[in-house]
Amino acid sequence: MKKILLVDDEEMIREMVGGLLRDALGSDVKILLASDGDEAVRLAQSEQPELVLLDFTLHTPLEGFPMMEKIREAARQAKIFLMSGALDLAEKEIKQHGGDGFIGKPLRMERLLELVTKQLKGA
Amino acid sequence: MNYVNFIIYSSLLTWFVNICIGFFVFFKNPGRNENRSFAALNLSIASWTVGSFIINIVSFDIETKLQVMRFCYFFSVLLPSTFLWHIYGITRHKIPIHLRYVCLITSVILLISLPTPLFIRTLRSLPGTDYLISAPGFSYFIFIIYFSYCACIGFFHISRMISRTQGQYKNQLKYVTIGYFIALLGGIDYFLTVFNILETPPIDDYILFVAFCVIAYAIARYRLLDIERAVLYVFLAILVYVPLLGIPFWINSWLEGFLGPERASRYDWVPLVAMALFASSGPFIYLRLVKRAERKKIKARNERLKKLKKISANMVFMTQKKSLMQAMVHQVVKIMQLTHAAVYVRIPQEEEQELEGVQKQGQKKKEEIKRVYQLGDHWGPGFPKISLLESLTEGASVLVDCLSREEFRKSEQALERDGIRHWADRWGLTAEETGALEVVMLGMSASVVIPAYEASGRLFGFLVLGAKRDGSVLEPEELSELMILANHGASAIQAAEGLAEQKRQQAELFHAAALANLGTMAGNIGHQINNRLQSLSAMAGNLSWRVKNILLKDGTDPAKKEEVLKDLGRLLPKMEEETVRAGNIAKSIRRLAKPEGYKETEFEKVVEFVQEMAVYKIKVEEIDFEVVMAKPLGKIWGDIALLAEVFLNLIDNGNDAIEERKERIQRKELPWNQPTPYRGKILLRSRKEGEWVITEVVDSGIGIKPEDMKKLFTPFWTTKGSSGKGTGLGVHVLHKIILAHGGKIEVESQYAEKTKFIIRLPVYRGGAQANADEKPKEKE
Repeated sequence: MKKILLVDDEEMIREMVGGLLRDALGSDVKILLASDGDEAVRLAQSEQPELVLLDFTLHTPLEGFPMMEKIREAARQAKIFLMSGALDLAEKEIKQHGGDGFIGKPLRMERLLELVTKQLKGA
Repeated sequence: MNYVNFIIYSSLLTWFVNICIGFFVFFKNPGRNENRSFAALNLSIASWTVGSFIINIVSFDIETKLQVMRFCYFFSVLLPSTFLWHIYGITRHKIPIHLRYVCLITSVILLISLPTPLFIRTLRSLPGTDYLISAPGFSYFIFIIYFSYCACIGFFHISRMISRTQGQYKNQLKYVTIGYFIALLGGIDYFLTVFNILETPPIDDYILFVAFCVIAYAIARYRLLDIERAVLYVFLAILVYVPLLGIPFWINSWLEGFLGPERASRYDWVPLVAMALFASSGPFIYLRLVKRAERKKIKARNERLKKLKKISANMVFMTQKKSLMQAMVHQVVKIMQLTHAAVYVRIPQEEEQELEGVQKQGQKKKEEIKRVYQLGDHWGPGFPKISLLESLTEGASVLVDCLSREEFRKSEQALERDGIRHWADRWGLTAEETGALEVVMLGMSASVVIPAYEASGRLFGFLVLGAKRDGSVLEPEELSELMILANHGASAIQAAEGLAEQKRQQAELFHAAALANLGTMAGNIGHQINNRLQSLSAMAGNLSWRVKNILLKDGTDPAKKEEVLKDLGRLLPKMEEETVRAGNIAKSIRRLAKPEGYKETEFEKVVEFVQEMAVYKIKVEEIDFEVVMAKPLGKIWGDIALLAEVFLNLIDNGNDAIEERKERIQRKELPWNQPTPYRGKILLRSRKEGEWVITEVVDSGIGIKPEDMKKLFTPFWTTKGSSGKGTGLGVHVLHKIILAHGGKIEVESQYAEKTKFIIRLPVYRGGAQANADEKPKEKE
């Protein structure tokens, strides 16, 4: 069973994106949800997800690049995609801090699904 | 004592009146042609009439009486030419050259024959009386022909002029003509007696007196020759002396009936003594009456001056050009009792002839009152009855050109329609210009135009006055008062213009500062909008995928389809809500970025707007932000965006102050003895108190040091220089915004404790003229 960790402070996003992934990918993919940085790191450590969708700004003490670095440490093999609406982050910078790619918000669900499917296949 | 005496004394009356008026008119303005000719005419008539008095009252021998009569006829020979001089003078024409020669030659011939029996053969008594009158000789016939010729020429000329003129001038000429015509009737009566056609003693002096009354009426009503005062004095003199001196004779002639002529003649001295007694009391009565009349005049003048003073005092407080001009026109119409008035001011730095104006029509006639009141609030070019502006655009150049002339400005006069022809030469106007000017003024129904100049001598604007409602004429005193008022008005308008310019610059500054401030908020606002759109897109994306892949796909689990439908029902309203929230945020940015200008606003709306926007200014997670409104807060007159700027900036300052205090506490520079960690608080509290809406912005931040308190309101002062903050408006600018709203701003602070800004804004009470910055001034 494959696992996806979705980290976002906004409940509506977690519910909608999580629900969609669940519906679209079926029961062989487990969707993990986290709303703050500490929880995300904990889940990454314990569940070792194949894919992490990480919101950059969480309004919690642990967020942004430091959080991503910690998740990278916790789940070495995971593909980590950073999401942000406010900032346009450069691919290079993301890679420096242990990330694998960037998804701009607002999201397009079709694109997200494509990306997730592709990443899960590759993993 | 018979009626002949009254004829005799009438000569004295006419002499007295003519001499007084003649001298007064002459000394009033010896340089003016009309005054000189009028004086000469009066003296001629006076000298002629006094002859009859002397020869009938004094007991000279008949030969001396004849010489006296001949001497007095010296003036009557000059009378026709004087008459022409005067008539041509008041119509502002020159006597034709051939007429001058006719006058000269005839006068010389008559004067040569005057001492000889050719002119007056002798003196004869009228049948049945001892009234003496001259018996005409041959030259007397020449004199009559000459007299008639000059009279015809004079009347023909003046009647032609009447048909060509209008307004007050026409009225003046009309009354002059009627007056002289009556005088002519008196002359004819006298001549008829001289030529023995009429047997009764001549009543010409009474007729002359009537003529004088007519002219006096014209003088009083139409300000002919500026001798209203002289007429007043002479009338008062007649009012006093004629009864005083006449009553004894009346009594005497009444007693004659009782006592019989013989006994009556024994008491001849009685009326003379009575006359003397009465006459000595005359001056007292006369002076008393004069004083009274003067006092009345002075009182009326003082009242007018008081009102004018009030207008001019009111003008100081008006800072809006338009309302200033309106007030000026309104007051002038009211106080001067005019049919209408208008003010025109040159638009600064614009085309030469462009004028902006306001006008007002007074209550001309009773039936018009209603209409005027209906239109009463309406000012400006749309005013229907008198389209001053329309006629001005065509005629403005003529009028402005005349008013701008150096010669005109230096004459320090008002432009009176009826005086244009008279002054044309002095002002250097050509005949066409004079005519055009008259037409323009007639088109504007203006009787007077009063100019006002800038210090440089450039025409600033002018006050156009219609006629007086009672048809009378503006007096010279009134005109000079109005000229002073016009100058006051001009400086007030200039001040208002300067203020408007200053205000415009200030508004630009405010706007620029507001935009800068908006920039600092933009990140936060953008983030908020993006958040809304993110959840919106998440919902939309989720639903659209599931509708397509579950709901609309055959063969899927009905339970799952049911779930999608349920979610649709649940999420669509949420999406709508999110969309509205995002829209509202966008709207508030618009509101901040584009000030809507001053208008009537519920103050609650301002506070709510501030509350809404404050979340983009402060970190609500870290700071307690509270808004307290003691409703109702009432209305204010102001710009919601500018006011919001003030409060948002104060909140922002509070936020910075809290951060600063927090840092200092963390660095142990400031003490913090509470069990819970320091948490900042900002409170926005509004209430209405009498005429003011009071808002307090309190923060529990670092506070202001007492030594910095004074500098707080100076421009560009900030404590945030090093911290990279201070992008908002300085307190100085906030203060200016509040002042522009007629409000006040105060600050109280305890260092390391709290800061409280107290803002008072005047409650808006409505009213057409209400203006944000005039209101408080009027109150103070």
